[in-house]
Amino acid sequence: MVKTKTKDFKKNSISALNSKKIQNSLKGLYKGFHSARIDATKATPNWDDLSTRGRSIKAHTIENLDHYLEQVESMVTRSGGKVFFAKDAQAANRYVLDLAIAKEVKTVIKSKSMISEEMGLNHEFASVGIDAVETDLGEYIIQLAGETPFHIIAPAIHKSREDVAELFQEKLDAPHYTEISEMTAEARRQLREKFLTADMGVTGANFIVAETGSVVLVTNEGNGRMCTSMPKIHVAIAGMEKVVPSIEDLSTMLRLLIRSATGQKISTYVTTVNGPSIDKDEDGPEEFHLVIVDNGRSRILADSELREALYCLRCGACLNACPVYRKVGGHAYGWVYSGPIGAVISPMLSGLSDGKDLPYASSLCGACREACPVNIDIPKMLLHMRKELSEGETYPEHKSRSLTDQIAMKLWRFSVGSSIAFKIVNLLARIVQIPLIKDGWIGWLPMPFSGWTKYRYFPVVKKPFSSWRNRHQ
Amino acid sequence: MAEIIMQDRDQFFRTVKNAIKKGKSEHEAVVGEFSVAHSEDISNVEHRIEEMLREASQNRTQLISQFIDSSDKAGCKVTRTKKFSDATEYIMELVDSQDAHLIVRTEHQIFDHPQLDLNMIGKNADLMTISPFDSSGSPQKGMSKEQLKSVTAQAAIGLTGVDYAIAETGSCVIIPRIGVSRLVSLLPPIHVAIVQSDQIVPDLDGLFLLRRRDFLQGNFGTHMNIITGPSRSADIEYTIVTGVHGPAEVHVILIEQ
Repeated sequence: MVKTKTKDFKKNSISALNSKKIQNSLKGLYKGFHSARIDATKATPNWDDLSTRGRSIKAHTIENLDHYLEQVESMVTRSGGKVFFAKDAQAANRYVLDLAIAKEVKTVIKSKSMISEEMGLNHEFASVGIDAVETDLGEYIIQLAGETPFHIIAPAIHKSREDVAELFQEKLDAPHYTEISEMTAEARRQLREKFLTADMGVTGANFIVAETGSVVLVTNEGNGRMCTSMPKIHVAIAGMEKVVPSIEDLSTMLRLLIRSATGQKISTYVTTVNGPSIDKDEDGPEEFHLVIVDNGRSRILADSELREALYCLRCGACLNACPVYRKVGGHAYGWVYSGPIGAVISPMLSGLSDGKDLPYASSLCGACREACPVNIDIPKMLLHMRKELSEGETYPEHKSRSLTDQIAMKLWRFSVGSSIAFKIVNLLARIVQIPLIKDGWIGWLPMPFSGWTKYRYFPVVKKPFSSWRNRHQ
Repeated sequence: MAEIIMQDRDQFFRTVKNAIKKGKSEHEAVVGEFSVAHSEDISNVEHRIEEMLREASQNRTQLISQFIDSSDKAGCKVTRTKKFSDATEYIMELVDSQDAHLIVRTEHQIFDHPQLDLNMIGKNADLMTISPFDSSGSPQKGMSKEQLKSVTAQAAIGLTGVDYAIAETGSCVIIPRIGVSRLVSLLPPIHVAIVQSDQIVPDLDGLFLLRRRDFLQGNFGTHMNIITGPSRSADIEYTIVTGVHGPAEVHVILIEQ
């Protein structure tokens, strides 16, 4: 399992905010993805109906997940594939590794898969000496750089062309390129060789169709097609929430996902895979394995307030819309899933105690909810998590309210308890604050309250409403 | 091993079932109607297909221009013609301009059309059919699956028909099977797809409806590619480049009947 850095959110965001390069690349998100999505949704007739329908499909499937997962199992098995249900990342890794070792696999080609990042699968392959190569251009770049994805759909978007040129020069012994097309061509050459010789292809799944047992992959580069067609073994890994009931649901889901992700009407390639190739003369893999992973998703499923996080299509629209993500970028969140939806699912998957800052990494402005193609109410869930964190009801071991907060809250409760106490505390506060007021705001508070003014101004305490009312009656 | 997998499976399903029960909420329990009935029988599907196709044939002209427009916007080079002989000519010119030595093709039915002159196309370059069998149905001499793969990888142009085309998105749909390799439209740097106008379905809904019938008839196959434009990426500085792993150019020759 990869080590999460979700607890370093504050530290990571500060370094992102101070990095000119990251701020520069984040600027492009707006034009690159955000506006493209808005244009695409506007150009789609009945986008809102489509969205409602997509949400219904997800809600229905998640409510009946056991039924649909059993259907997936029986359909994939019927088409000659094998299905493994993994309760956690460790079990999923063990299955894939055991398989690779048993088949004497030397090289694995991988198509972009967030769940394999979540599992830390590449690290596991490396530990047994298997060469696992990421083949999505962005993933290839971050694998060479030894980093994690910066964005769900554009993993290396924080790298400038100069960064990539230097990286290719250092790691691939390539000439120092200046054109992006040259760098792409270099990656094509390097990876074509791997495609032709690899023994195993590992992919994620954008959807799994229960009715037909199909794994559906949405890609632009063609590496997904390579990974499902070239090697003798294809392993698809998917979070258990990826199921949709019928092949006919795909038209709705593909429109929602792709238009929200990149603004395209459809991606360059949509590939459906049903088991291994049946006939020995047909091209395609001889073996097909589908690994369906829980890894904390059942915790989200069991929480009625957070369940709809499982509707997420991983389009990345909420990242591009979020004023916080657009300033701090993906690495600040410290794990595979970033942005507003990452702030919900990362702590739920990796442990709330490590990710306790993430539910606060939002101004609750609602831009994420508006951008979401299946109307996930992310602000509501973040509020719920904040409440859980501060009251420690569901997660007592994670109670996080600081001593200062607790004392302050006690004082507050005491002072609003009676009108005399309130007037006295209000008067005291108005006197104490005098030396601290600057331009109508309090910019600095002494310890232990300094945290409240570190990143924002504290409002000046004014006369109570009751005195205003008395004067105006 | 198998026993452990079964134990894992049962535990997995127990956890999921418990979680569904525990997290059930009143307000989301009633979900919106969604019309796909899973027990729907084939006659109903046939009926919906008939309706879809009838409507499509009434709007043929509009579908054609929508397909051309979407396909063009997705980055395909689209040519429309009424004659198969124009397709022959177009491909020959492309072969010459690319100085292509090797062309590979699928065995789509369209290549049987008498005016699509394969001999002419193969005049200045080798034209190979990527299939385990030759035209007489016997195994290709000395060609293993692996060899066919490496031949395809060396070709300059991959030539295919399509199984469907989609007006909404400008896509070519190819359903691989024996004689229709997955790789002809993937490995060569140029893909040429020949589309007949009556293969155009209105939208993704139409495509998946037809695929549902295929499935119910036991005809689904193992793979399908919906291809829309050249292979592309915007992973470096949001700059769109083509020809990342798949073809850098997709030529669509649309033949109107």
